[in-house]
Amino acid sequence: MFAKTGSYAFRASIVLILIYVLAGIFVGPTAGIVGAISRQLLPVWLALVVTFAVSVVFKRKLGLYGKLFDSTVGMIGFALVMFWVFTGIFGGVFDVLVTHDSLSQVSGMKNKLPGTPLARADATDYPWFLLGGDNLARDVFSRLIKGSWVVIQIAPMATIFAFMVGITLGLPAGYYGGKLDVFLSFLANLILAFPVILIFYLLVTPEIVLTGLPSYMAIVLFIFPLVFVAVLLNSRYYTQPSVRTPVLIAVLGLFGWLYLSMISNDGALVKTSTYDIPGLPAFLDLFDIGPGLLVVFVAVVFVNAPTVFRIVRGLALDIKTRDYVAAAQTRGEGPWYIMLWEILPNARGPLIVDFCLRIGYTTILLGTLGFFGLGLESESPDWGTTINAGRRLLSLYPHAAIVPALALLSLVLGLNLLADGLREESLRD
Amino acid sequence: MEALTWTGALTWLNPILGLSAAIMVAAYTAQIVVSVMPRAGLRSAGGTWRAWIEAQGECSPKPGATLFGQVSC
Amino acid sequence: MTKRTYDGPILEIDNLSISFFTRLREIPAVMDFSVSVKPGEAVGLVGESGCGKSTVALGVMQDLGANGRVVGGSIKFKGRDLSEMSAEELRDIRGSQIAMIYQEPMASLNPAMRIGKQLMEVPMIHAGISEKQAYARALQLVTDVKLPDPERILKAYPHQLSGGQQQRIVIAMALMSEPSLLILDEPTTALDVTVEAAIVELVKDLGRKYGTSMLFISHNLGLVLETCDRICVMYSGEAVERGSIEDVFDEMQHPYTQALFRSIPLPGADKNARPLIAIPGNFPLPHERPPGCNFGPRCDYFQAGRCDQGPIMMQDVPGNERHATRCVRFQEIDWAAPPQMAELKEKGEIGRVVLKMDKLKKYYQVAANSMFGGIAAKVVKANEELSFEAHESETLAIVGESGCGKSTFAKVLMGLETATEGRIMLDGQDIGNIPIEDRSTQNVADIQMVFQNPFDTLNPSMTVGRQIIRALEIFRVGDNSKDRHRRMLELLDLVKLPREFANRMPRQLSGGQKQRVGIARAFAGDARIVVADEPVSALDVSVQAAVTDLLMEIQREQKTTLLFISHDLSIVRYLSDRVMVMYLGHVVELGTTDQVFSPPYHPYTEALLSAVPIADTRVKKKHIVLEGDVPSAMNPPPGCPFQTRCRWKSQVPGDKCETVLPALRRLASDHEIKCHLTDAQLAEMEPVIELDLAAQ
Repeated sequence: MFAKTGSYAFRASIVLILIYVLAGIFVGPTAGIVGAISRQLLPVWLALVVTFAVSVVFKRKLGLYGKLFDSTVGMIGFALVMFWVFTGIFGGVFDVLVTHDSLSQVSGMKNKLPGTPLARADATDYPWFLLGGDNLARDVFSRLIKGSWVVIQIAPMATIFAFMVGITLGLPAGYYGGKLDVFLSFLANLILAFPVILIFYLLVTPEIVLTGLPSYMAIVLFIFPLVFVAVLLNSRYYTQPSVRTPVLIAVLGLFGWLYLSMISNDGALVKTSTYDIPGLPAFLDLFDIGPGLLVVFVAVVFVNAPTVFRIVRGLALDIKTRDYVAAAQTRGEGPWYIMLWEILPNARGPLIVDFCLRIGYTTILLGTLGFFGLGLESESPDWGTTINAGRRLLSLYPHAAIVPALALLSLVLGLNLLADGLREESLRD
Repeated sequence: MEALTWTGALTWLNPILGLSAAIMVAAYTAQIVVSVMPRAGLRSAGGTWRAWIEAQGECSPKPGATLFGQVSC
Repeated sequence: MTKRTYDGPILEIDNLSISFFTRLREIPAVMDFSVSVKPGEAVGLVGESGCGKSTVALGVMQDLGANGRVVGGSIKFKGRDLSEMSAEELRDIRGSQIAMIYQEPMASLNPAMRIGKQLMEVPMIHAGISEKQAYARALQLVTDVKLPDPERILKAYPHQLSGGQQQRIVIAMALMSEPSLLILDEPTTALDVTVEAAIVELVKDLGRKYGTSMLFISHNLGLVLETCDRICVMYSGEAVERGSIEDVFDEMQHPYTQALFRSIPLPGADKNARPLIAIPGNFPLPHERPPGCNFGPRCDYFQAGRCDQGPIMMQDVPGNERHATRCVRFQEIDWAAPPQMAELKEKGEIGRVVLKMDKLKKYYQVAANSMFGGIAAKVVKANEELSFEAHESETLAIVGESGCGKSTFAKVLMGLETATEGRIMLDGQDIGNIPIEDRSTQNVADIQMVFQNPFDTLNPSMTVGRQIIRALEIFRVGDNSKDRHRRMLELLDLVKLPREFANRMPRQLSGGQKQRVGIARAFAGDARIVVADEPVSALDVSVQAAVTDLLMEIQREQKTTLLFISHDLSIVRYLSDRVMVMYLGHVVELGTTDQVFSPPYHPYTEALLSAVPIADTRVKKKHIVLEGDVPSAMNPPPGCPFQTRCRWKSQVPGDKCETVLPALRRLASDHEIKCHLTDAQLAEMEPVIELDLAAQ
């Protein structure tokens, strides 16, 4: 009885919320702040509707991704995540959703409440600060949108690197076992036993940065994707040298270039006060990662990799006893082929689920780092930094901190629900 | 320009949403409370080992069931 | 207590239909199924996997899960409809009057609870007796299930017992509350043959002693013959034939039953003269059943217009109201007509020696802790002095129970392990000490393996075609990818799979089809020696014959040497040329199939033969039940490895068996045996299996 009432009330609430959103799309600011935001986000809604329509229509042909649309929890999670992904892409790349520049200060708007009209608005300006202004009189709404792009970029990238490291080390540990396993597991435990925040503080301490330690760690950690891809392709194609050689050269060339671009800054791999290690010259350098961002990246990969390592190692231990692994051994396959082509694909279910969860953790971690003022610059619109900036006036003007906090909460919640849905569906039939 | 309120012309909807959300929370809470209340005769069904079998049946044969290194159901 | 006052049928299932509801559709698992079990009667439920026999059992337990539902008919237990009982009553009946024994004993025991406590819990909850009485009863039952040292067992945890002992405890637990009905769902499938024989013997005895009715679910016709009074054959959710054991085994009235019996290797079958007849086609999926007779599309007697029209009802066989069949044509078919023989197969000429084992030994060092050292390493002697030869186009069967060292031998042969001592000569080249990564591609391709578990033998995330092509790539077959693709399609033809299967994923294939892909993959590099590790034991009976035939046919064509590892002696007798019996790493007997299967036997071979259930009412078997379990290879008994369980030990003077390892001695040409019994004693042995032709 309660279950039924609850489910009806749940549906009613969802319908009502949809009414606010839909009405907002049509009447805009007449429907208040919610309506105005809803209209502002119109491209996001359209993208979401298209994604869902296409996915639901073809869900039987889309494998695990399609099965996600059989689970309510999974769909809600996916919707939340995709909402922020689209917001990030539209706002960050195409610059459409934002109402004001996220860095410029508007006079008279300091700490104004949500819905406050601009004091001296030009005809071209958007007439309100939808979610109010922060203590530097910047638009909270626009900063939220811009910040979502930063979060959407960094968290998955850092997680991918952590997975590369974890997989490349976890597979041999699980597959070979023995001394290698004991050694690698010991290292993983060592890192896991160390307080995370302390590691972060150590890494950003100027004295440590001066020794070049983060750069060295980046050199080591970022090479794993390169190794991974090289081994993956070589083990698969080594029986056909005519295919293998060109493919390897092309792929390794590209990845090598990206790798070198990533780890070299201003033409140097490591720059300390006493010595330099020269890197890629500036004209070949595709992009520079700011020293703050590099530290964040290194730190996040460093603390996430051991957990991934343990999951992969456990899965490899399980899967290596299967007959198809024995079949590969008896036809003389190399160990890396077995690990990467026989074991890894069959471990993908749990890994995908963990990947979603881990993006969530990483997002929180980035928020935490931003909150401590580590890593990104203080004017960065990312959510952690914004929460930290708004914290000081929390009791007087809470909106500047609460808005990004709620955003962070909804994204991580979405990722967790998505992971739950994926796990539930992957376990079914 | 006027300052915007949160829901503008739709303010009349707020009490309805509030009511429906309140009912939802109350109903789900009640459901949880009822489900953990001890039921008479729950002890039997052949003892604890049967529950264990059932848990095994749902859990063991799926290859994807191992998450975080251990079996998760 | 009113337990014993009811004297109608214990269980009456009437037109039962059970369906499972998935997101896509309703899947009828059982349709129009009727059976009744009288007090003290044992009824066997036989069928292939997916035929709904376990669903019936779950239906009786009223334990169909969230998706299953009884959609028609009734299940009456002692005259009362189970579906009308309250949850309370059901719970009470399940624990105290109906008990179920599952396939996997470990899954029925709580690993964190002592055996005694688990046993005592049952009557304490259901009958409310005191702890003291419960303990006495537990002790009594553990003695009844013939476990040694019952008091120690009661204090043990489940993991401290062997698989056979665990299953005995599960049986004891089921009997604790003196149930009127015992449901056994494949209770011995996970066990070794000799252990299985002992358990079956025990179940029969206990059934007699306690007057319990039994519903015995199995896929093994031989086991049902040995345990049951009546039998019900199921096919694709329906009962197709029902009757007493004699009626069904000797006067079958349904084409499926007949086809089933023709596809299993009974004594007298021969791979060349009287090959098995596989049932054509595949088992229909539950939602793709044909109209009319479910067996129609695979039936030799199929008649369009009659067999594919409307539902077919169960009909009584005239003159025998307890024998019924679901076939519209059963009175027209001449059941005695001999099967249409497939053309006689030319026996393959056994050629030169391809593989020669010379005193092969494999010991393992079991280290206590690899990193910190510590306790002295133990040695496991997995293989002791294996010497034999295998010829071209010969089938050599390696027989033995789990732990006898046959898998270790296979590993050493494949190069996954290296030999501790001795040589493996392949074409005169010693490969015993060359690990697989150092062997030449040709050597690796020459020795390939077919695995036991069809659901595990293919990589689930790669298409069938890709997996075969990968084997071709690694064996350097073909010059380019087009070449290999063509060769892959040819291999699919070789194992008689349609070419479209190249693009399928393994999960879209049935067990038999997967096994065929496994065989195709093994022959990708034109293997000359194929190690088949129980290749058909996990398959359904009707599919076994087809896969066995396929192996034989490929062997005839390609002159392959087949090393057939198995514990199923009926299939070994059917297809092998020579047999090697292994026990605890030793070869105890080696000879041609006829020599091994007729006296004189090694005492272990004798016990193995007697343990094999044979689905033929004419067969008379001697019952030899082996006591105890196979000793651990870590701590083998001194002297003869089999001395702890041998029933002939008293015939050997002195303590020779306990102290001296017997040498392998030659009895006749090609017949070798490792035993202390004298020639005269061996000559006195009587055959274990006799075909009673007079009864025919």
